[in-house]
Amino acid sequence: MFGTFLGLQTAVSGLQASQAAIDTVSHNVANADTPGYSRQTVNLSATPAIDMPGLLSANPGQIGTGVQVQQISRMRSNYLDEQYQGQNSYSGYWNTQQSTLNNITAIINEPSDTGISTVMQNFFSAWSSLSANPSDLSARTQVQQTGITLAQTLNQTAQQLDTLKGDTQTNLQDNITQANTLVSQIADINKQINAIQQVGDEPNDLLDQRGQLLDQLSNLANIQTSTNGGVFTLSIAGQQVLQDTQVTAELAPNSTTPADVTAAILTDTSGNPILDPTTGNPVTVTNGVLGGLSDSIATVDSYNSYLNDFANTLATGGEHMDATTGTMVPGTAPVTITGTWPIEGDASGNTPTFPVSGQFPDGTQFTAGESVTDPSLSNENIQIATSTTGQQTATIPAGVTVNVSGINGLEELGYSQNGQGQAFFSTSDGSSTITADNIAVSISPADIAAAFNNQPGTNTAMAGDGTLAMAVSNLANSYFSFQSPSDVNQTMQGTPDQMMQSIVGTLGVQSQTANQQVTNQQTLLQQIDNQRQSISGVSIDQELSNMIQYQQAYNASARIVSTINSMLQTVVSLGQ
Amino acid sequence: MRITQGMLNSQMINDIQNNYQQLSQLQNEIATGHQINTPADSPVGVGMVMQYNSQLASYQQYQANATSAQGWLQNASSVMNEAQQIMQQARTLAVQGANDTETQSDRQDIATQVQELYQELVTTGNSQYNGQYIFNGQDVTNAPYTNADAASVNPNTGGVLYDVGTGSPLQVNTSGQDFFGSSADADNAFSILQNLQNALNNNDQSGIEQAITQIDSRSSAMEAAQTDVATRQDRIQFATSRLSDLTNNVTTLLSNVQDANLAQVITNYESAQNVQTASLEVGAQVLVPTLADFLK
Repeated sequence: MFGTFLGLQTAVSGLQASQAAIDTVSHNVANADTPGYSRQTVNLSATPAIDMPGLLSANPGQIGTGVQVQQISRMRSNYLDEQYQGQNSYSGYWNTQQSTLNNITAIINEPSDTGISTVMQNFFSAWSSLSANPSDLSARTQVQQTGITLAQTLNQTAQQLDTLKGDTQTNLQDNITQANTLVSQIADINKQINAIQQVGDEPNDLLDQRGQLLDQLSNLANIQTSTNGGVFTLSIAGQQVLQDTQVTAELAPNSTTPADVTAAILTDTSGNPILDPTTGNPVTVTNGVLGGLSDSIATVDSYNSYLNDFANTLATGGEHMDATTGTMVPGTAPVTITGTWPIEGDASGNTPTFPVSGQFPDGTQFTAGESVTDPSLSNENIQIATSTTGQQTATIPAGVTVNVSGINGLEELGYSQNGQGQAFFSTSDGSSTITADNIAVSISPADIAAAFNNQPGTNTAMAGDGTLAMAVSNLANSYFSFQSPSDVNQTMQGTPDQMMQSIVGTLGVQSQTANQQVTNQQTLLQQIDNQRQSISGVSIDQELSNMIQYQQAYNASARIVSTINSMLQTVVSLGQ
Repeated sequence: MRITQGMLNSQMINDIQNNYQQLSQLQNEIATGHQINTPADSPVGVGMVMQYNSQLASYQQYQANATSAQGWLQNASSVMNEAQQIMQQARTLAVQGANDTETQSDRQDIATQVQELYQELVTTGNSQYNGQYIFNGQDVTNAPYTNADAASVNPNTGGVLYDVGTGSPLQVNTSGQDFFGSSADADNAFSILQNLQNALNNNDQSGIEQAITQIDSRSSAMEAAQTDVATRQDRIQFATSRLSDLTNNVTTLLSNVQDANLAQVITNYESAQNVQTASLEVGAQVLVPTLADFLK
């Protein structure tokens, strides 16, 4: 025999289950656009039946007692989460690289009418003009002014790169702070999750929030998560930073001096860098925005280094790695002297010596310091004249090629209107090494040497001799040794134009790669996110049809209540 | 696969974003007329663009040098004409003076005219182009000759060189030593005129006749020097037309690499715009309806 009110209780359990299901539908619809939200479903099951054993019973078997809400669970795939977080790191890395390379592209500003290569062409053209009009003051002023423009363009470019580097370093610091904040937020959420899980409930919304924070963190760095025996651990760059609710390591810049920061490293709780056991170096973040920023700093540095090398090589020949000896040697560029070249001996009447190395048109070589009367040069038609004071002057015929240390080295071989030629480029900060930052032109137009030939017996130039200016303009086509843009320790031969081209070409390849990677990562992330949404996303249509279903079930249960009610009334009226 | 409104929404935002990126790229190409606007557009192409621009800049400078050299040579040629006319006038006077019928006073009158011619020749020898003395080699800021010493000085012989891009530089100047003769030459133009003047003053007929022979010898040397100038003018002419050919060629090459194919880009732009409009329209219709719209 069953209890009189069993049917009522069963109907009430139906009402309650429908109520819970409608509430869940409502929660899902409300959170349809919440980032990171996973749709929730109500898992219903029948309550234990009342057993009616007994062969003699009129009602054999079991009688159901209604429905219960077993669990409200969220629809989520951990596998897709891991996929998403892994790709999100790459996405953060390449987005950062792309933005830095876009900035560098804007700073280098090629191809354009105002970039370094155009300014340099104007500079060499001005020298060519001067070679045709060496006595013309305006041609000289033109050389000085285009030289100043070239120096200032290099200065500005270098300064903008310095600013970009500083901004990138600040950006890295900010992102390190953000990543640490995210880790501690995750630790806080873990505490709440633990509290709820201890009483056997499923903290769906907190898990979603944690997933959302992990998504954000995965954009900043390469992370891994795992849950072992209910204990959640989080690692950054392979190093555990969070165990359950305990932060075990923190991110920090690799230097306390802001200008020296180049990477994000991991430190233990007392602030000491964590070292990689195999290399002994601090563990650095290599992926995500943090990895992208630290590589960006290196990229900006490399362009600064190319420009410094470019400025130094153009002005003084620079210093480059000798491939055979592996040592740094001063660089020179060969340039042909189109007119005659007088070499003065000293006042004591000694035979003149070559100031630089080079070779005659027939291939005979000479070295710096070698006497012009060296027997190996007997066929070279070198004329030697002796002045009344006994000073000797050797006249080298046209066509010899000399190896000069940049424009400064070439200028010093000749004569200006005011005397012996002097360095064209100087530094603005008094340093002895010319860089893109400090290159300057402080020479006055009259001191610019345009001539190899001097007025006999004086140190002033032959006014109509423009052969030195011509040689300088020809340096535009001379092969210098430059630092290779693909490897700073490699030397590459090329004209100044080609050097700029290879810098810009390298920038182009890097930007193109970054652009492609960003597009790829976007597509990939979009795809993975779509798959996640397919599982976790709220479908309004689905929720609404569920709503109708549960509403009908609720109505039906209510109907049963009223039916049982009227049955009970019938029973009660029997007794009257 | 289960599809939700959120997926449709984010898919549409992504697609529209892609469309905008494509439109922006095409619009940039149309606005600049260039398909290479940043190094990333074509890392190889950008190097070629820079290389061609640099070549064009050097051709332009060579052209400027050639024009300037042409000016110098034209000026030198007309100055040389003047000098030859002076020598011809001197010869006419000498022939007249050599005439047996001339009296001593007639010859002295002629001598005065020869002296004027001498001064005129010195002035011609000190001709300038653009403020530079054209007959004094590289020493262009100093006058080579004076009335007193014109016959005894040797002007500088250094070459004034112009780079017109032909590999070897072109010398534009002719030294006074080559044109008027060096101080050691018997047919130095200035000493001929001085000797002629003296011979006329001294009524020295054989001296006058000797001067005629020397004038002829100098005139042919001057003729040769002028022909040399004409040859160099030809060389420059040739260099100029070669430079303009090169400029045309390189401009074509540059255009091939750098310029956008406008017909194609505009067509692509139109089609990208259509796609964009269509995607916006479809998006607006697709995103609205849910079951909620139909539940009463």
